[in-house]
Amino acid sequence: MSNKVELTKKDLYRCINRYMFTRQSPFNYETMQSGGWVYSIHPAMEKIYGDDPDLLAKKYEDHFKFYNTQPWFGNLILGACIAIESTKEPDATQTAVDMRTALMGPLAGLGDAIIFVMFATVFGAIAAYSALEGSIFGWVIAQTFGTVLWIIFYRLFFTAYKQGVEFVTSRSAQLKRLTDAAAVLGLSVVGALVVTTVKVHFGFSWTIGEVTQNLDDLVNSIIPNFANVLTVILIYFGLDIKKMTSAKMIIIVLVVAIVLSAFGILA
Amino acid sequence: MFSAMQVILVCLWTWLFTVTGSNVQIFTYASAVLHGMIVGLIMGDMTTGLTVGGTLCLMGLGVGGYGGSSVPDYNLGTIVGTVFAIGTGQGMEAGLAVGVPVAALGTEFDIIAKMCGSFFLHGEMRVAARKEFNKLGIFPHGYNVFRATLYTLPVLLVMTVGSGIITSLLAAMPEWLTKGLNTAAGMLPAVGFAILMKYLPVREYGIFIVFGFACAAYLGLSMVAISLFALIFAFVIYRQLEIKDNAGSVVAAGANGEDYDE
Repeated sequence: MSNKVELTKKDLYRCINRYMFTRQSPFNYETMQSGGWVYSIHPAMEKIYGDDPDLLAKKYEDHFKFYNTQPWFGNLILGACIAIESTKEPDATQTAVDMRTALMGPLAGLGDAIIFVMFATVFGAIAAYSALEGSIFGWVIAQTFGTVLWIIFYRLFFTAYKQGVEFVTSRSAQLKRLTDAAAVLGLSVVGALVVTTVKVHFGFSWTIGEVTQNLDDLVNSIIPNFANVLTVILIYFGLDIKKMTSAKMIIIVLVVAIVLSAFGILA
Repeated sequence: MFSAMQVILVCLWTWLFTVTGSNVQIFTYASAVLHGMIVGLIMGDMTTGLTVGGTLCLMGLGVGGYGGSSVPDYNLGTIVGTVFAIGTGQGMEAGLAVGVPVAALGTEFDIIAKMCGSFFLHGEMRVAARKEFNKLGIFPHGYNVFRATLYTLPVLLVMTVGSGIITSLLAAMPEWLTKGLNTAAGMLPAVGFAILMKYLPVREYGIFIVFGFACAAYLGLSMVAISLFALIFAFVIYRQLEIKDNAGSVVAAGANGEDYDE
């Protein structure tokens, strides 16, 4: 005997469409993304538990608990969780919330690495360089790719609902491989960007007799773009300093750049 | 200095982007370029807009609000930077001088919005406890409207009452500061790349940084060319891992005495 509630395509569309506009709202430091989550699962939950509002209110207490993941991968978690809730088993909500908590960390790491770090860097660089030449072509490439990826993730909500948690877990090995492969691409691009995008030059020069020697030319003849490499390495290790955040680091670099250039150490 | 139409359109664009931006995220990649383009069009000079957007986009590469952290907002920086780059006619110089501080200030807006988020969350929790489920949506959507308005206010202020002050500040800007901001613009992308390296498996695949570096520094290859070469390596590594994973599962199945002859 099964209590399973069959959700229609329309119910599911209502959930995912709500989620699109509230994935990170109202973002807060207590439970982060759980507010938008509850609002998004409501069309499904209403169908499943609508005859018992008291029970539903109790279930939402659990769903309001801390939740934070990469929004695109959140689509998958949402689909799988609604699938669990639709079984209407007595411990369905407990299972769903536990699974949500178990998945949100790993998928956030994966999602940040692939969606926000890797692709954002590769396509951001292509679009930015094209823009600096006065062309929007690079941005069109980036946006086309982003839109296709966005639609894929939108569709994955339905796949995750149909196949449940197994889908998310069974694909984890494949996703791990994909992350590694994407990391290779990302790291290569970072290496290239250190050369092309970072522009740090020493302003020092000295004259011996007739010859004026520039520090920048000197070090670059040993290692090309030496000042760029040095800057990235210093910041990389600087980020390990206790209580350092990326926002603070940006302010520090901003101030250091202005001061060093005012004294002519950097050009 | 700005026509009413320009103020309205720029504010409207900022509001519309922010009200959906952090949720829908369809304009995720190179969004600073998009802002430069749109605001440039509104201000009547798309090329300058693209230059400001492209420069700030490069500064922001790799910088992201991972795990709920707050980082400079190069989108907001591009909007305001472009407005003044074109409005004052000083171009990129003004774009940087205004855009970079505004981007840095964006961190604070993000923190304020997220702190106020608690208020909206508790409201939503209250209506849920009272079983008024049809009111749940007021709070997430209300937060979106609040956040978008919070982000649009500074744009409105600098384009109206603040424009005179900013223009005179820009005119009186000492040369060392202009030079310093240019140096900073060249240095700031390094922060993004250092953050990226923290997120990527440098221990396992760090050698590919050297690969990309050598391709760009010695061969002078373009970004697309280097991406394509890297894609070949990525494919080979994916296949290798696949073979390794499959071999591992076969061995595991064999060890359990299961029939793996499928």
